[in-house]
Amino acid sequence: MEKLAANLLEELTCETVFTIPVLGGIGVAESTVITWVIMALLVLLSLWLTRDLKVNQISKRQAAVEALVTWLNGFVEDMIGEEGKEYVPYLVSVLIYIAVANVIGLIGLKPPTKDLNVTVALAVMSIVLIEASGIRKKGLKKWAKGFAEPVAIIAPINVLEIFIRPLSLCMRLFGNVLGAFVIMELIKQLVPVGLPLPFSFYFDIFDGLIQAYVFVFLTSLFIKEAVE
Amino acid sequence: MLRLDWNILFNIINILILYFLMKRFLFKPVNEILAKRQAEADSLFAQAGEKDAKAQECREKYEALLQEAQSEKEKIVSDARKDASSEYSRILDEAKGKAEGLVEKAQMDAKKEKQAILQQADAEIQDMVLAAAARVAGAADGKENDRELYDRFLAKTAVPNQQ
Repeated sequence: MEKLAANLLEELTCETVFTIPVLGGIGVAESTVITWVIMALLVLLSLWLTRDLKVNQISKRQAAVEALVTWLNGFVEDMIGEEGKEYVPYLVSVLIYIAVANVIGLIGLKPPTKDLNVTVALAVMSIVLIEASGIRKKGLKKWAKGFAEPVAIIAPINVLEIFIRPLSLCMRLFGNVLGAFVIMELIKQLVPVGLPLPFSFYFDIFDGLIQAYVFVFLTSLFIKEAVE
Repeated sequence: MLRLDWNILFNIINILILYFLMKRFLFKPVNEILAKRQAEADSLFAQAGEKDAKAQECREKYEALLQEAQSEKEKIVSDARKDASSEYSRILDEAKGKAEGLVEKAQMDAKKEKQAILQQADAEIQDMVLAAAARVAGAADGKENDRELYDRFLAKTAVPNQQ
């Protein structure tokens, strides 16, 4: 039992892979390094998928990448609406990143989204994007006035939303992935063969993709609200 | 287990870099090829429309030409028919006129001939009568002579008539 607890704790800690020797040493976490791996993977995959694209007589590979990109773009565009079209590439990138990060546990790596640093980074990016899109669309004055709508008295609550939205975004993603990870580790420690498979389908694949969808869905919803 | 530190910044940078990389290496080429295909399809559609309009125009022209040819044909045929009928009646008239002339001439000729024959016959009869009279005057012997003379005259006149 003690061994199990120790194993679990080891799996849960976000290890520091290496330390940059400046400002008294900055630890670079495992999640950051795994993110680099994901980035490299995605770029290589993109390069392979988009190799010699043609207008006519396309290969199956090209048909697949065209269908995928069109589907993802349409999927996010449906959520964000016509007004926020320019934010679609960013949201699709985030969607792909979170989806890959959530299911990377399948190949034995720790999901980066299990680290609060990553989800906080994503949430900060989202709230900056949400508010920036509002300011870009309405202008600073009108955007600031927007906090007092529909009545001035709820302005404090609207201001609070600036902090609550990213907090809920990052905690939802972090909590779901961490929870799924903990349950999967527990199952793996108890019964290493067979049993983890159906659970992995749910916790690693289904929940991971759902969380990626939820994160992007909420962000695009907030952007849509901000630019309307 | 929970740690918040510089890695937030690292991850923000990571996400931004990933965004730019995805935009450059995934969205840009795919969207470019989609736009290219769209442009090609649009131009093909425009070309098809143009061709269609041209074909329509050609058809109209051709139909007008056909109509013109048809009316010209009808005109030519009716003209020809008119010409032919006038020529026909002209020829007919001419032929009729000629035939009438011929018949008249023939009648005239026949009359003249008849007249000439009659005149010749008259002259011959006169001669014969004269000759007979001379003979009678020479012979002068009664009734028998008269009968003989008469017979001879008859026989003489009967010959040309029978011929």
